Amino acid sequence: MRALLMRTCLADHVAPGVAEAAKRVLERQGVEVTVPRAQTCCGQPGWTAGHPDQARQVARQALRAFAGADPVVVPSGSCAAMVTHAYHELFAGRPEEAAARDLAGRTFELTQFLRQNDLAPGPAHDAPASVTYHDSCHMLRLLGERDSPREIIAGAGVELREMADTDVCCGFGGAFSVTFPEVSGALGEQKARSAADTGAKELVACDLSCLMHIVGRGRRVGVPLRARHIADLLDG
Amino acid sequence: MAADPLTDRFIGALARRRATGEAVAGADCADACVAQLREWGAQRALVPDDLWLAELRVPETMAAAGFDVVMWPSDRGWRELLGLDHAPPTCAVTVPVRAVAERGTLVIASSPTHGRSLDAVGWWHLAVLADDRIDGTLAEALRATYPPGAAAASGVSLVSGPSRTSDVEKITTYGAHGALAEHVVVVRSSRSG
Amino acid sequence: MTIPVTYDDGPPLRARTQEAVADDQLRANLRSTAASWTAGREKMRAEFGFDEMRDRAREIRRDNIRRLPELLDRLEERVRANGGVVYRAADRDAATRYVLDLARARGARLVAKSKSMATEEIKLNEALEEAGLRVVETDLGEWILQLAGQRPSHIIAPAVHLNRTQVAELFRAESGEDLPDDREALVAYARRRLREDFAAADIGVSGVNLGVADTGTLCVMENEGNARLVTALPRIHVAVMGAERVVADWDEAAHILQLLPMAAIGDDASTYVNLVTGPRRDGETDGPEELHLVILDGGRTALRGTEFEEALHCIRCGACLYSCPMWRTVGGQAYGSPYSGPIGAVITPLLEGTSSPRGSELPFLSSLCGACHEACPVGIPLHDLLVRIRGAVSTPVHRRERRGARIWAAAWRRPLVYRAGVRLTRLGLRVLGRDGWITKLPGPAGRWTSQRDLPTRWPPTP
Repeated sequence: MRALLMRTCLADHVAPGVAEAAKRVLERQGVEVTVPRAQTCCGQPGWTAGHPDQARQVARQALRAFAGADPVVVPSGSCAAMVTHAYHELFAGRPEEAAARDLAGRTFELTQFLRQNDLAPGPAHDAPASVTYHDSCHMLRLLGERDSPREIIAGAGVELREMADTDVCCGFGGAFSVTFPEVSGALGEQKARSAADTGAKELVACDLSCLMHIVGRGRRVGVPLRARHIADLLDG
Repeated sequence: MAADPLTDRFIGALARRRATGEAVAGADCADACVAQLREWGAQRALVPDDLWLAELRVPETMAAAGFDVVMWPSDRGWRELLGLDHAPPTCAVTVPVRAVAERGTLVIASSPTHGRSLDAVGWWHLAVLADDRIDGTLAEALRATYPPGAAAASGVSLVSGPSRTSDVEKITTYGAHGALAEHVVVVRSSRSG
Repeated sequence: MTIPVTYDDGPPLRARTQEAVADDQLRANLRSTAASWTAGREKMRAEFGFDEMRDRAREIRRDNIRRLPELLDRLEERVRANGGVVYRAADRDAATRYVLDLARARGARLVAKSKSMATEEIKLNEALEEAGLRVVETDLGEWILQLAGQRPSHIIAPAVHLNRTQVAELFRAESGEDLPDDREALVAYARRRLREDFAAADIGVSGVNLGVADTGTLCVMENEGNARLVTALPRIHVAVMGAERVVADWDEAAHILQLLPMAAIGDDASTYVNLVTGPRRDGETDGPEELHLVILDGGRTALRGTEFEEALHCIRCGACLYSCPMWRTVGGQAYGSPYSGPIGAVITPLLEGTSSPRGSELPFLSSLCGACHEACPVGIPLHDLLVRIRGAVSTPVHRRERRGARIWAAAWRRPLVYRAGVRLTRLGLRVLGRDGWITKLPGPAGRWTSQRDLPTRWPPTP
């Protein structure tokens, strides 16, 4: 089985280890992973901020970088959802429309891909005894994935302690985090406290953006949290 | 007399609406009404000039029991009917045209002898409902209220329980601008006999 | 008396949200409001088949908007046949002018109103008061806000942000009576006080939840009973209806009327649904002598056939507000628009223009989480509409941002430039980080660190 890995611009800039971990997780499951060098970003930051033409220019590069027939796996619910949910609208009526629809049909978030292919990675050697899981909004509502990440966590033998309101937004929201920082911070604080209240050793999610926001806010208001990306958790 | 399933469902649904109800034979209707007026502590009853209600002897039994019976239409002003200027505590009596079993809803319709706002002007709302007017669903009741081709009553209200508000601290309080409490006397017809 | 608060001149949206976030009382009220709505929604789904009703509701509204001109014509024809008067108002000014002219022509002095977002939208109260009429909001929550000189916070429950002690203070000031703090006494006082106005009002003004085209019937849904009295007692009833709020027949109306309270308040019925078909008939002894239906366009029909058409499907239940993490944090007043929450963030720019102060700001008060779409009983993809509207916003601020976006796109569509930027950022994080964290970023990036620390290592060291 072959797959292309979309690293995500966020991981590139602040946590390249997450993309590397995702690659290793897949390879250990026997997937031949290619990481296209020509990739940059899926274009979501521009799209959600209301700059569709600019987002399209960046997304076009993704169409080029991930051309072909192989599935594209991405360690981010929101980037996967951008491609699967928004690319057809972004490229509607344009020459790239067919390519965009094709890419949307073969792009998957990491745990989604693992579940679909009945792959069950074990835990990282330093995996915590217990975790709590945050349902990132795009993962939950646009990809409809509530169960896949949980099954993957259970399959890795890690105890899952559910927090209250796991499906309420953490408040990151892309540009929202800096356009309305106080509202964003208030939501992040609620999420950090909910996570801490479970007594789980670490917070886990499929989206780096949510994690950075929750953990960063938690630290600011005196609720320190250990956290890792789901790819890190499975990187045994 | 065999129980009527729609009647039972309707009375059961009234509980959800924070209203009460009972099913009685026609001969017992007037006494049931008087008993409810006493339980509420009403002094006046506002009663539509309805033929069926008269046949059931409701207004005359109420008068005989010492309640001040005011027939609708009345030439008393709105201030008195609304209970202002120290009017005696008033129970409004209605004769619904339909009812909805699944929701415990009454359909009140305006006519020359039935005010559209009768149940809302008094402190309490006492409805006298013929059991053959009870429909299962809202859709059925609305179709019966608005038959194609016929002129509709100008003022219809779907009444589901006493008036309520949760505008103060999201806690429900009754008797906002309409009735504080509602009781339905369902009169068994030959359908359930 | 309503103290006018003109949103356009008010503080910008960010400032209003900052104030709201810091208001502990407001936050507590909103938390309990959200919790009870969520519980009600769960009940409707588990016991009353809410989910099964949504597909049909979506189809009904889609069909209504497709056939809108035909349905409005039929509604108008039926209302006239029933003895009512219909006025199609192109915009807010036309709508208020019509009502003002009517009030003057009839020598009206007192107007009793039941809750109507459409009348908020056209600023009817201000117009009537400027013309010397007295306007009384009879919905308890709206009356409370009127006494407090504030705007409503929500479509269904206007005064959720005030508690009982605050309400008692307002009533004491209004009445000069020494009223206790308890809810029942406060409600009983309001009932007694407002009955004076029901009895004396010359004109009753209501909104319209749904117009039923087949019979020309106007549906006004409520729990308190004030709309009953407002539409039954005064000599003249003026109903203000948004042009999109029409269904074809009673089967459609039954479905939507059943779904509305389930979506809005987590109950399978609201206390009253008032169905008005023309003014009083010959022989009837209550009911208005005149019925005037004002159909407000105000930019609505222009949305048909556009990528924003689905916004017209809205039945104004308020569910999207209650489900929205943003609304749950700041409340409705912070939005500064008659329509708040996700639907407000969508239709305010659509109806007022994307360059107006609040039209240009509101679409960005959202993390695009999609809870609104999940909550909406007619399935409007509000989160998608918000992204589309953001693309259409055009203000000096947004144009500056657009220039930044162009630079971003020019860089990030080129892998070499992109990778150079990545190396620069990674270097910068290493340089600026202390013990794996940055607590203060320079320049515009400082907005991130105004609320959060930024980890420079991953996994982050706690």
